Amino acid sequence: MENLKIIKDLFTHTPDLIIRPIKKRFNTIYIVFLETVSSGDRVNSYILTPLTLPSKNKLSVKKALSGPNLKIINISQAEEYLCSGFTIILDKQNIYAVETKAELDRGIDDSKVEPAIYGPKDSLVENINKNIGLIKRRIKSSHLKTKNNLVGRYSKTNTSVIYIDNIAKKELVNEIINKLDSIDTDAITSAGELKQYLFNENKNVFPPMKLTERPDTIINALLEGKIVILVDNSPFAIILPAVLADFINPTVDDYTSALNTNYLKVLRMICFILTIITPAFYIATTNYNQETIPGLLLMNISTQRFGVPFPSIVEAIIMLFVCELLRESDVRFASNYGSAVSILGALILGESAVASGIVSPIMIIVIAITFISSLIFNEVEINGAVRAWRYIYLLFASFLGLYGLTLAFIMMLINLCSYKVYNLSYMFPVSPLDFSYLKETLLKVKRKKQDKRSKYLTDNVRKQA
Amino acid sequence: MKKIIILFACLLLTGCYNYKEVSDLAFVSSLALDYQDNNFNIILEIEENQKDNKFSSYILEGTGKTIEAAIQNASLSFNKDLYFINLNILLISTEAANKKLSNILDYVTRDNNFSFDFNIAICDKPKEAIENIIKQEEIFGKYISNLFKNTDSNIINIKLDNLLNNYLNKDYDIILPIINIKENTIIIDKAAIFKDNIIIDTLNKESLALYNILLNNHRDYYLEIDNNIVFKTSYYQTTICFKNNTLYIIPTLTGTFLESVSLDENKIIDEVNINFNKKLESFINNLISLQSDPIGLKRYTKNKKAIKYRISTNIILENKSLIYKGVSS
Repeated sequence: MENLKIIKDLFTHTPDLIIRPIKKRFNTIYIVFLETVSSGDRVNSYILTPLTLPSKNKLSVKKALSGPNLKIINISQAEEYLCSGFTIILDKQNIYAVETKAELDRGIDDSKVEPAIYGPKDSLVENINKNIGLIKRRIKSSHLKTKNNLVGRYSKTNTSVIYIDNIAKKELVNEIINKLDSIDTDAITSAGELKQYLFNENKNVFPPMKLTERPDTIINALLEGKIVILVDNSPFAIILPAVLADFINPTVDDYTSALNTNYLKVLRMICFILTIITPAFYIATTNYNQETIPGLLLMNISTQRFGVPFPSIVEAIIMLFVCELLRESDVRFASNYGSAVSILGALILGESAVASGIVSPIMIIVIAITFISSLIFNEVEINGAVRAWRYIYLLFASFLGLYGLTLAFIMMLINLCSYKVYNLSYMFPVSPLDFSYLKETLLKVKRKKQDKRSKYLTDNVRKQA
Repeated sequence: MKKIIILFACLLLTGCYNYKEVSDLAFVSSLALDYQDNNFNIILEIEENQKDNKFSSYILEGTGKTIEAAIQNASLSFNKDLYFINLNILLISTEAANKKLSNILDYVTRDNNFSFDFNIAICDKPKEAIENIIKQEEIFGKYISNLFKNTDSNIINIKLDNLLNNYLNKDYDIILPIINIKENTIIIDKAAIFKDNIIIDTLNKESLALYNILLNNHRDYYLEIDNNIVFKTSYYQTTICFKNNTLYIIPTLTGTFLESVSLDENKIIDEVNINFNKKLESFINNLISLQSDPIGLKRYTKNKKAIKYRISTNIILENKSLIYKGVSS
């Protein structure tokens, strides 16, 4: 059997490759599958049982297993099919493939990264088909298009570009599909990995696309004219293009009334600014522009700093470093140990550091405000961007005071305004000003008044009557 | 790469020029200036915050040909940077006010280390006054600042910006409160009035109340007519205008009688009116005789000489007395 030899050669040192010979009249057919990715039950019920039934003993394989599940393939495709959980049947020169994939993914679970109190609880899973199903369950229209693509020389990861064809701009869809086609790499294992191939601009720390695990967020993005990419084996979808306003305003805002939500939106915007500038502002005002602090507060700060051996800039950097360390250890460490790390951190930061005179209590407050403000963003990339700019601000403020802080602010503004993601300015909808998208993100208006889509994202602007 | 090098060069070569650690600052709460024998004598009250949130202060003294030299001499044996932004009070002696007021104002306005939000007063015994308050475990600067802010009595509250306004405006003459010590207690019940930047006289408490009414400075005003009747204002508004070579001064006092009043309130109101007119007339005549104008009447008269003035007071009673109501009903 030449084909069997080829398969055996391909899968040497692969102990999970199972080959079952079945005597059929004057011939022997071979059932080949990988038991780690195939379901033994399915192999038995779909293939072994029908083929070994005495009544079907005289029938050919094609006739014995007749049905849509049976595919005729050639030997070059055998490797891919075997790895995908199919069972290969070698009958002389004919090769058949029957889908016997094992259920290796978990069930649909609650959203862990982007929880919502009143929103739907389901979230994406590692199975791309289930994920597409979660989207199609919400958009029952033939305009919802899915373009599949295999990415990765070895991983052959299935990716799906999802868009609504009469809303999304065709140029953007084509550009993204071309980008996916041009990816030539060994393996893509997650959405986070794939998104690094989709955008060449690497000079800016702010993320050009958003990762989400919420199907409702995906639906909102699709209906705005954005494009979603699903990656097999990844419970996150890529939404692109994404602008700064998208990260500050999650979809869960849609589930509460406008007045309450607007308060939270303003709070989030303040937090975005606070988390970037608080340490720099403290350094600038206490070391250069003391006149900006009320006298009594300044005296209290002075008293608290008495006996601290480091300049306040060094103190700030130490504290920021320790907090980053705590956050990273909390994320990386097994969750069972999480509370132990938190208690240890609280003890080090809260009491011991102050008692031993390494840092002043006011610095603890400053860093606590900085980190608590940053916790409202659940996107890791935006937190990374905020961290980078926090250090730039700190550097400028430590050399030039409030003047430096202003310079850093101008620098950030220039950086954000000149940053374009798929021809869309990152400061959109503020610059260029677009009220329809502004109502979706930075400011919430009554649902009835959200009647248009942004002209920058789609040509089909009318959303509701 | 070039951009990053330029950026770091700019930061490293231009930065840190006014870097000061907040724990290295000495907070000056009061500054007293005297001018004797062609030298400035200064007294600095330095405020300190203890770890247990108690405040204390101590005094530094120095002498020099200029204010800066005197401050430098005072801080010779001191290991902190003097920080004047939190200054609460600037005390100037009569001698320094008469001879070196322009130098003092020039110094405090030119130096970025001073704010515009501190009180200024005349005090001839500053050391005694400051030490007196320090003995009571209080900060002199804060004590005086609160006294100016919270007292009910009719004193004037002059801050640097008010003083500069009067000093630079030819329509006004300067007026500054005087701090006195009586039986180990600080009292602010007088003010010095200037003519051409020289102290020419002092105003007593009653005159200061009238000064406040003319400038709408809204402090409580008590007018005693005789031993039994006291009229207390809750609000007053003075309008001044100049027509037909006559200066019209129209104060409208709204208030109430504090003590029991006979049934005919209208008669008493007339009495209050006449009494207040007389007091105001006497006050203005006094200012005219001194040729000093702290109220800024020159703004209205446009420097015309030999003008007439006319006072017409309106008294508005806020609450009628209970007896009046009972009889009328």
